[in-house]
Amino acid sequence: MRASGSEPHPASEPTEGAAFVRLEGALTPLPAWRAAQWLATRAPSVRRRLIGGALSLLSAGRSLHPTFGAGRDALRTSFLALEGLSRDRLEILGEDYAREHLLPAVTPEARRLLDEARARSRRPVLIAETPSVIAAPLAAALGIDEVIANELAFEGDRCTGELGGELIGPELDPRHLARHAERLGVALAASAAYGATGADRLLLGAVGWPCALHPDAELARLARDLDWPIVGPMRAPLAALGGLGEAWR
Amino acid sequence: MSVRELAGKNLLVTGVTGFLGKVFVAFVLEHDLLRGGRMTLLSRGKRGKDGAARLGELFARSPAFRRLRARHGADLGAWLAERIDVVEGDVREPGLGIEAGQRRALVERLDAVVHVAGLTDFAPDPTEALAVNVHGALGAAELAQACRGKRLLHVSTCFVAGGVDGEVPEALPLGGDTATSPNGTVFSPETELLAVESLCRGVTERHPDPVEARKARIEAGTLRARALGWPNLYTYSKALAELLVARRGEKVRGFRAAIVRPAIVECARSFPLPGWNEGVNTAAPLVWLTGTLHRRMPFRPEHVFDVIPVDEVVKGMLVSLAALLAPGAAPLDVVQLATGDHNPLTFGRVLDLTALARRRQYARSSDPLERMVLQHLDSVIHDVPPEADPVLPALRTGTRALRDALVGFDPALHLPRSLREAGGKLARAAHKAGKELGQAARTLGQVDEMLKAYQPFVFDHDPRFATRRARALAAALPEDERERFGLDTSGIDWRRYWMDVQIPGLDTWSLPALRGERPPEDDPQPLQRPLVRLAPVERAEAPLEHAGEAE
Repeated sequence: MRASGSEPHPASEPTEGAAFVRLEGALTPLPAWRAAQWLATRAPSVRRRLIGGALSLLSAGRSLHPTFGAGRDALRTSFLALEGLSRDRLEILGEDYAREHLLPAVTPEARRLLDEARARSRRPVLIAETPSVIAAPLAAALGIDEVIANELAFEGDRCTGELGGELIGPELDPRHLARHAERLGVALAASAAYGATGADRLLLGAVGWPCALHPDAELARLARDLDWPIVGPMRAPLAALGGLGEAWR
Repeated sequence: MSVRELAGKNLLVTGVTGFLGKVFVAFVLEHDLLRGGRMTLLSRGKRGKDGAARLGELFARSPAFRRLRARHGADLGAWLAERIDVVEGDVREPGLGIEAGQRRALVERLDAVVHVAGLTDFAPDPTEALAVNVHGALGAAELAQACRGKRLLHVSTCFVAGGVDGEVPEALPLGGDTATSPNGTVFSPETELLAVESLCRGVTERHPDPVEARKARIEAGTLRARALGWPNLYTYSKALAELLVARRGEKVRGFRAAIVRPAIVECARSFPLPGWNEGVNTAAPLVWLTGTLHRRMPFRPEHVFDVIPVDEVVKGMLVSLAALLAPGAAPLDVVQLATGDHNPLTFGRVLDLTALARRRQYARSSDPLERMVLQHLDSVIHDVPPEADPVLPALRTGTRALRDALVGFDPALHLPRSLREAGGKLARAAHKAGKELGQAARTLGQVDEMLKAYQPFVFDHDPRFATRRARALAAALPEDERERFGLDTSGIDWRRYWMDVQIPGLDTWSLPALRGERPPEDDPQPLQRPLVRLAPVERAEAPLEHAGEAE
């Protein structure tokens, strides 16, 4: 494993490409279900807050272990907690959550890597399981123009609790990634990616310049095997319960 | 059609000490739209000050004229002297209370009368409402008919439509000698005015106590308004004014009138400054309601809260005035200034946005109660009529009962002898809490009254005011004028407006007035030169009437 904070890329790397950075785990320690739970417990009525909170906790449980369901299903459960909330409420509270919770939680290592990517003319792209109502204002605050995040579906101005587009789950389908790269006009071989969990192995394997940022044990092992650079302290085993202290310490 | 039509014109404007009147005058002066013409402002003396002195104070300290003060500094008085003059008067008086010589001067030179003055209380004394809203409008129309230009722009309200649902056309419900009320009753406006005035006189005679007489007049007048389908005396009196102005105008050759009907006039988008408001308008009490103990709002979430920023209303008035002054103006034009038919803001959304704005404020508050408790208490829509909701009456009864118990607490009576000595402190705390609960009970009473007053608008009816005429007028402006003077209500982003303009604006300018406090004023910058009073014209020089010939 390379020492924390060491230069992850050789000086001769190509500069055309993007820098894909995973929000959950890599950029901040906070998991997607926390965002959904925060939004759901700010519904107008107490009844909706209780239902939303319970669904979010169920989603958290499901994301902890495969026994309780795959990560993708856990995500869908967390979005169900948002059913009935208005677009105004989700977008306004989304801005608040991004500003008050996520932005202060962005790690110094992540900020440094973003700056380095820009210096190498790589366009930063935020990849988030967290709904776009939160990911987009966070990206704007970090000066990131491109966001690949879960879009919530709306009927009129009310959230249906379902997704309006493809699911951006813990594991990003390489075909989807290739499609996004094409849309953005970047070459994956010239791009970097920063992931944090074993589920990010597909993302990191698809780019020319992978980097494990605050990795969990599984990704750290893989990174060592494949000689991918590792930046920042390791992620704690129960980091999916993020926000309960600094989860990777 | 162009707002250049206004250049060189002479106007009389009434209601300039009111919210809309101030913004209209400030906007006309800001863009110097009357270049070469003059604006005469009708003003009533009050509290020992004459009309000119009152207006001088407005120019010196009202935020509406902040831009003018900043631009002209010490020269503002001289700059205004070239553009405006003041005439003493009172819209409740015959002939607007204008002295005969000054009236002659006006008749000789006026191109149009812009009548903004009005009483906007929902439950005013009907004698006052009729004097200001009906006789004031008729006085303005008579002056306009007598003067050179024979043009009247009369500011009314979209809510003259009364208790109706669906599309409200830009037209008057007149047919021959009769009119049709909101509930379909066919009536004569002239007879109705006589009847309601006679009713008020009768009620006054039966009640020697003036306070009781006023209460009885309000009750009787409101019943009469409701019998015809208007929810309150405000909309009833404004509707009567429209009908009578139109009926009397038909008989005067060459007379042209535009009736401009704004919906709910609220905080300025940008002019004179973002968020500016004055007094207690329609939204302020509703926003205040969401901050009280009562959190269940009996609103229909899908009903439209037809808000329009005051600066957009002023733009609508200006394009209507330009069309009125242009050759070939229609004898009567009705222009509705609203947003509900093309960019609707619903009550559900208003409540949601208000709660979110408050949540943000409370989250930053240093008061732990606001940060930890109130932040998390949202108002919720309760889609049943107020009278069917048992929570508010129960809350009122419970609060009163607890107040009575606390206020009536007496250690000598309610505590055993051994505890009486320590009971004094307890009694003082109980009395203090009782007083606070008394205040809470009074607030809940105000909530109850307010919900009843607003019920026709927030629950019973959902009118959609057609605005084709206003938008067509704005679209007819030359391209270089459209941005500055064209109505742009379809482009209002309600979320940004409500969160960043309306709520901060109400907090600064309107809610203090609702609490009985004075809203902030600018540091006075007295005019170095007093406002010019309109010079009277002797009888020989000009007729009192220009040409009141019947058609």
